[in-house]
Amino acid sequence: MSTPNPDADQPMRDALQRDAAQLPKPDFDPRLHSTAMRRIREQAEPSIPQWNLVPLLTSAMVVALLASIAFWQIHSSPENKIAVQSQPDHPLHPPVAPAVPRASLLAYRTAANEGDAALFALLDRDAASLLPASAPVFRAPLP
Amino acid sequence: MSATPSEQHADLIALARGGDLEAFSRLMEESQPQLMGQALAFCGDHQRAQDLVQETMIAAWKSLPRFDGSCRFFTWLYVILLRQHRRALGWFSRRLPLATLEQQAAANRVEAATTSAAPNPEAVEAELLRAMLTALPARHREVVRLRFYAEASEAEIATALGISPGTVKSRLHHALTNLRRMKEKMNQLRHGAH
Repeated sequence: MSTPNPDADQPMRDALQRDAAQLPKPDFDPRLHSTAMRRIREQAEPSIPQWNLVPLLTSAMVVALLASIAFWQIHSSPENKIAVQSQPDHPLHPPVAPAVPRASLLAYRTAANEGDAALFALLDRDAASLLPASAPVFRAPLP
Repeated sequence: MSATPSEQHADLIALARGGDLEAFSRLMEESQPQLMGQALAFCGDHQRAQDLVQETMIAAWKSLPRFDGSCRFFTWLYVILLRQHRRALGWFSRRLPLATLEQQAAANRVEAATTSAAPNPEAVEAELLRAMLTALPARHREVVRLRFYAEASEAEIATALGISPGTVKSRLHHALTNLRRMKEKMNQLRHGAH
């Protein structure tokens, strides 16, 4: 393997240095400078509000996410699920679709705080909605 | 006590990095003539050289937060100039069958220098050297230009290009060897012609 000989490259190094020294160095061109700076300013200005929007949008997204999680937790808590699953299971007669939307867990809690009468009224309403008196199960003879 | 020019320069860079456009403008005022001289040597055309300097300034402003001061400001600018130039050539070569557009332009300048009414041997030699430079692989040409035209040290080139000092040394060695061989070949052809 041949070892590099720096002396062999020296004339070329000298030639390149001479050429670099000969390169023209034009005078400062104010028009070129102002054109470039104007383009930079045009690009820089709209970016300022965009940068300010980033934390705002992030905060909004976090709030929306937290609200969604809270809503989902309230509407899918185990107590609520038990209330839904506690409806009578009758494979021969599918349940009739409720006409009135069922009360939420929050509504039950509020009713319980108001007293037994309010709670039973709410339970009655949901029971009637889930299984109305006209349901086929009540018309079939008991085994 | 007043600040030295290099301290003022460092202050301007710090201000510009913080988003001060006025400081950036002053830095560019200082660098523009040298950048334009280099751009003219690359392009050989005043309009294209001006476009190149403009694009370099814009790219420099965008990249300024990433400038960490590990090399001279001009070396860093010069790397941007080289990359913008390569990008512009890439744009042309995608649209025209002229992948060697720069070589063609250099050859034209050699031709013009040789066939002028009173050819200046030094000018012809300079154009020949620049034409040979365009024939080098881009990675080698980049290192040669940074070393000799931007007067950057090998360590600075390594930092500016994000490569090891050994790679800089090796690329420089290969580039100089290739240039020397090209020159020898050209001399043989010239002597054969006479």
